[in-house]
Amino acid sequence: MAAGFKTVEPLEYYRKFLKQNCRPDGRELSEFRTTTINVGSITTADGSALVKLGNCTVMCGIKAEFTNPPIDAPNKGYIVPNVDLTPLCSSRFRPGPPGEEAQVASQFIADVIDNSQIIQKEDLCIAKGKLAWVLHCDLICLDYDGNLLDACVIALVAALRNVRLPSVQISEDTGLAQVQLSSKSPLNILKSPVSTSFAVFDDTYIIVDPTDEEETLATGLLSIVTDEDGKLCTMRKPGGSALSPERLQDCISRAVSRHKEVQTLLDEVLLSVKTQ
Amino acid sequence: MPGDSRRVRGPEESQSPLLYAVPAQLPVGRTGRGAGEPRAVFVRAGLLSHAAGSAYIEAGGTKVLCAVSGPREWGGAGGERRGRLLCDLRWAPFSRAGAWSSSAASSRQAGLLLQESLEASLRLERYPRAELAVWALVLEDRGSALPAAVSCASLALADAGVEMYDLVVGAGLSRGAEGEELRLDPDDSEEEAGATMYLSLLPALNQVSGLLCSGEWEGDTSVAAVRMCMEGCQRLYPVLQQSLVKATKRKIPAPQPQSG
Amino acid sequence: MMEVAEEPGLREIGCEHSLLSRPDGSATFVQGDTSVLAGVYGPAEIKVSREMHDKATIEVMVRPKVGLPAIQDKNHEQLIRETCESVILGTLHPRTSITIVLQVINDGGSILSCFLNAACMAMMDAGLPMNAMFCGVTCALDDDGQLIIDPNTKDQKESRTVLTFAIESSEKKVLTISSRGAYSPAEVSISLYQSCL
Repeated sequence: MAAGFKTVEPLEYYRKFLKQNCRPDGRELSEFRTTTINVGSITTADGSALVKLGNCTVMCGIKAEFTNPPIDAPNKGYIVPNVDLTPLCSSRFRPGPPGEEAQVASQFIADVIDNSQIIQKEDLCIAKGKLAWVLHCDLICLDYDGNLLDACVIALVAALRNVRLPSVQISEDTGLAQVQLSSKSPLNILKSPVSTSFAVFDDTYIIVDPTDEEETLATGLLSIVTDEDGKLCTMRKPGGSALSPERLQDCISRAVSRHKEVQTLLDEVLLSVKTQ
Repeated sequence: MPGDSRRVRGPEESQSPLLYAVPAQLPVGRTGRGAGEPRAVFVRAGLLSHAAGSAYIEAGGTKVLCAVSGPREWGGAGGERRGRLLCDLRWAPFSRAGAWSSSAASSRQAGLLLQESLEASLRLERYPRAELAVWALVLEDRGSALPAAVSCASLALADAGVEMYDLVVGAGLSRGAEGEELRLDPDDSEEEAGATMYLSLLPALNQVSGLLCSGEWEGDTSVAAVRMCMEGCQRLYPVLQQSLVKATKRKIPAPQPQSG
Repeated sequence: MMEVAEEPGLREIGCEHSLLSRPDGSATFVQGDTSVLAGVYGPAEIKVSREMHDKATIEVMVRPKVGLPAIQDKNHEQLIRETCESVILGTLHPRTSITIVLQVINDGGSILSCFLNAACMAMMDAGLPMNAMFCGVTCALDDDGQLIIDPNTKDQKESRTVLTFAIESSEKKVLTISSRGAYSPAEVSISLYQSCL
């Protein structure tokens, strides 16, 4: 009976739950799905992380390579994020070049990196004007179940904190780089931004961490990225239900508290990897 | 990728730092396991929430994830009575030990072997004018990724409930350039060393559905190699069966004891 | 004729309607040096594969001044599309397409707000049914927390934070937010308050 009702009137089905302040999967309105983080599982990458928010799974692999620094900023390196949504994660995506959602997600991640100053791009420079690191951060969605942006941001930060770069010396005779694979050092991570996404139902109910189903039924979406000082790095609300400034403040305070949860989890996971 | 306006712009070109590294001494010969001994395997079926069927295989360091979508309508040529199988095998940009390769590189030859190996096992005539799609992604390639992808894809198809004659199991083998020793389930350094062979087997029927050789092979050694691959497949077969049983049990809820 | 208005603290704002003959509605919107030309086509016929049975399909295309659209333009496209979707009464025109084309004529800062304003003006010109109007506002915060509304390129570069809002006219609520740089929650409310004025 319930299953049939859900198929025929999905929105009405959700409303019945929301009236009781809970959701079909048993969560409260401001409750996140279980967050799982696994770092360093890909040994071919210089840093990697697998993040799961319930069913939504994102893997981030970072490979560091040498390149020439940009001409307009000879003392900087590059971070190049790319979000890949393949048909593997959901049948709604087609093979081929990235579609709109993937492009928007890539831009969002690039914005988060620029705005929050996760790392100083100057740290990625090896020899001024000659050699710099480029960090290719590839985020691949393995299972798409809503709230892609939150999962991507956690995966990116976890993978960046997992990166170990080999030490490089520039030989004075030849001018070529010499890489010592035996001595590796982590990146200097200054900030760890965390994203919190909300979905608005019928202009009234605000729920966090929407699933794929909830995202399609919702009338508005909102993502807020905060850093550890409680500052906002990126806010993104693409249209949808209008929000009053007061409701926006409520969302911001939830985002700040969510940041603490994720931060604690990240620290625990990275510590456990170190002690192994 | 330079010139691609649909991705975040990076530098035009970059090189792997490994090119500038002092090369480490590669250990000669295999350590820790025998020539005919495959690496430890972890298999799990039915782990993705949205796909019709899915499977994950980890063999040594090699990690392959596979999802199946369909059968869905395919508006292709009207006279086609059989269903169509679509295979897409990709390597994640960070999956190989060497250089970063932009945008999930795809290998045609590998995808073709995957498709041909699987087609032989499926009853495609039961799906007229429909399309089954297999999406395989190599997350980490530590050698023998192609045979792992074959086993993984077949398991995902079985998990999706597609009608088939048998599971397809893949095995890889390499022969060093100088030594004539055959090594089953080579890792990435062994794979580069010399001639390689990839074989797909339908174990219950004992039929070979795919074979891909590269490098020089002679009559006697190739027969021995095929036999060795087939043995490797037979060893993996029960592991795949078990994971399939487990996945099916998870899907079907346990019978509720009659109350009252 | 172009209507020109001057507000204290803002750059000169100008808008001209119906200057193109082919689209169903068109407008150009000028904010100081920033200028955008918008054309709206629709409600028109649509391919069967893309039609939605209960509402109109809205498509937004952003054309940069030179070259092909990059991913930043895609990002803008999505933001503008979702904003327009929330005000257009799409249910009145099911199974049709509404296409909004936005051509950058000159980018002198605050481009996203200019896009939004031009799109809204062009939709009005096309006579599309809407439940409210919206306007785009960009503001920049410099290091001392000083607020500049409608910054130009130079102000944007020197500022620490740039925020863009779309605010709907009937209840003065926020439709869209996009931001760059780090800022505190209090600064958002100040910016919002100022933008609403």
